[in-house]
Amino acid sequence: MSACEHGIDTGAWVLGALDARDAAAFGEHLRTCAECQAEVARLRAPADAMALATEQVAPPAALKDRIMRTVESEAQLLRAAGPEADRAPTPERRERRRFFRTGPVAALAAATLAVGIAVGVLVSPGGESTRTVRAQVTMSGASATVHVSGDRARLEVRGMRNPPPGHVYEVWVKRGKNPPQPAGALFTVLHGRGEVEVGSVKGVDQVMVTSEPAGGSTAPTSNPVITAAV
Amino acid sequence: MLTRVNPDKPVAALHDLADEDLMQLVRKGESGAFEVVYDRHSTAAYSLAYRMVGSRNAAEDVVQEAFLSLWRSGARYDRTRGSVRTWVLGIVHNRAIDSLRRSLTHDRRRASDEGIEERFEARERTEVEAARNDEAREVQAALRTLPDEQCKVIELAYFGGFSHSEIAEMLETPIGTVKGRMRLGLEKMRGQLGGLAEAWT
Repeated sequence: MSACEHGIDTGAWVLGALDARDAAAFGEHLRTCAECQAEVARLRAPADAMALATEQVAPPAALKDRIMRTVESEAQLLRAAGPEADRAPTPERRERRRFFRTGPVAALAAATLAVGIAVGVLVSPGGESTRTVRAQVTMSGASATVHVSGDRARLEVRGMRNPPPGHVYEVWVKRGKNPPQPAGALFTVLHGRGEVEVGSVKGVDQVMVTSEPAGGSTAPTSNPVITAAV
Repeated sequence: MLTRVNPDKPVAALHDLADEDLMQLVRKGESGAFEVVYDRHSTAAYSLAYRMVGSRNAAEDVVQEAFLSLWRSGARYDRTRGSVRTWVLGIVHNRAIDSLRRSLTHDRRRASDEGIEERFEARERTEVEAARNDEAREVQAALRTLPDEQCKVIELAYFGGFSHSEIAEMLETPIGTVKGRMRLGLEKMRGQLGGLAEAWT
């Protein structure tokens, strides 16, 4: 163990348990003390291993479904925004994709989708009630709802068609007479479905969605497809 | 249309890849690679989150946040700084602490897993998970070799997210003693873990 008088802090440091003031002081000390650096490096492994020092319990399958739905829709968005986004797939690529759709991967994906409406609330601090607002949608056959929980909102769409190639849906928030502000949320839909975190809707009167060029815009460049008064 | 993996990388091959290589694919937006990473580490992640936040719903939120952040910011993973698992569990740990701090029940909750067996009926365990469980058991056994007072301060700090002064107050113990116990306990645990400790670095 380090003979340095500050060595007493090494254990608490690797556990992230030092109070802010002590942490700042020890962090400063650590920059120059080789002895404490060596001890911190040694104690890091058992501190990290603490993550496993508890009963191992498999997470529910529904959690994976929920996470994969989000990941899939974002992966699709990435592909849509990629350099080849609006190029037609070559025959060869189409061929290989078809192969994969029938493989185990496609089966798994289908199983994921079959689970249906999974609610993906990223953060829902302690038991706040959720308000649901039905939005106006200009696309026939499509519907959209905004779920407001505290200051946060989440948008869910059904029966939507994707925007034109090279485009994504972008979410906007409107406060009073101010121009719409980007909510920082882009999405596409998968089998007509999509859901997206709108973020904070504090003081927001309307949540809107427009079709924008891939990558999003700083101001809407088309008429809203979805409008919700929150 | 949905394609889970790059057509050039069949899913079977993904399962053969090391975590570090999968992360390179995750960085490129390959959901198939992400799924393998999830399958490998979600049990450890969920168990840690559950132990820390103490409720299934909150644990699911933490795991979801952590894995989505891994998916969205895979670029931040630096293989020179440790294994993917350590990194993933580090994210879970941080998110769980955030969750605890947001929660009003923080001070009423204690790092305890009593009754966890009853709360989970069905468990699906693959061989891989069984192997990981062995590893978890080894870590638990190492922790149990510590004197109670060392074990206590380490658990309160790691699982409870309490600071050294909060723990000192809680246990009515001088601050220097609390820090010393953390240090000695971890030192002893390192010795107990032997080669396993090396694997974590």
